[in-house]
Amino acid sequence: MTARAAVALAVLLPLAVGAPLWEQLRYNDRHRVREAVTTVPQGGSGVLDHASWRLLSVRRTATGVRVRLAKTPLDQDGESGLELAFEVRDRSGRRWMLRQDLSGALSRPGHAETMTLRGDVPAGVADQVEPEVRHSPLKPEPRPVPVLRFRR
Amino acid sequence: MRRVAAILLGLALVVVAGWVKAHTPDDYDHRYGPLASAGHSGAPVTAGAFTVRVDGVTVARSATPDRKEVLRPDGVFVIVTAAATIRRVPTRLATAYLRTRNGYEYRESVKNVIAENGDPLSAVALGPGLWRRGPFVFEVPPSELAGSTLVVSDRPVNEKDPPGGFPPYGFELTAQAEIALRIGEARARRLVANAPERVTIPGADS
Repeated sequence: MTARAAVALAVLLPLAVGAPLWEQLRYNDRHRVREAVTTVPQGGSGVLDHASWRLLSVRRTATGVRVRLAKTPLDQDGESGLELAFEVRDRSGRRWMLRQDLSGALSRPGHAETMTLRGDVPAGVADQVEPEVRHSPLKPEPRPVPVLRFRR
Repeated sequence: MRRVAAILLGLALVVVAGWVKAHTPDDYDHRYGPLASAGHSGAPVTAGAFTVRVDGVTVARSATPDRKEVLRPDGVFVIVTAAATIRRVPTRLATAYLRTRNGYEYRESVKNVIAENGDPLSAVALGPGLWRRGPFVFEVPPSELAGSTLVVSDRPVNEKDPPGGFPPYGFELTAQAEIALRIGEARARRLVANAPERVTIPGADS
């Protein structure tokens, strides 16, 4: 009887503790932000949010970096930049936000537009950071976040 | 003998269960409340992925954000100047409020009190390895200033937050810094008594 009770406890206790923990881990995993990264080789271009993107240059500035990108909307949905975020990323995965210089140019499908972006980064990483264009949805979406990462 | 031991063990388990029950918060807000890191003015406080340091506190009776307009608070403006940084990913310290010793919580002033359309620190995107400095501005009754604590979190302001709802939606188990401003009764009286009639509050570093 005692041996049976011990076996039953040995089975039930780990289950009682493990099952809620496993469920919690599954919940956390479902709600974790995932990225679908497309790496764009030097001089190449990539497609994100109905637009084609190409890295023109990355320059070091007094406080960080200046990035120039060429954007060509592929259709009318690609004209808007509302759900885009621009960042740079270092080798260890740290990221910094870029601000877009105001430009009077209008986005039109099929026409390339040059965007200039600036951001502050520590001096030690200014020469190694890689620009990223990220889909930044206004409302959370269940799919992985598409990201274009440009090799320098 | 074995029976006595079993009874004692059973009683001990009941006591342990009672202790656990007594020390488990009943209501949801407390059980899943933010994971707070406490500190005080002048010292950096790290909570989760961000670090914040309070550099100073000033009080004003009104603010002049654009040299013409004069904005008056219901009580006084409390301007907490702080610096902050983040560990990996750009984030804002979007949630900031002042908690008083009486348990009242004052969110940041909704008036545009910062000079020349500048931003409070809560609106600035922080980046790893870079410190940003700027103000948090609150409207507080003068009597609530003593013993107050700045509470800061990087959880985003959520549109699902019901009007007047507090704590903010999505607060569960989020990192939160709670920084005692070290304002005693005497200092609070001095700050209020010497509060300038008008100040221009500079925005955060851009």
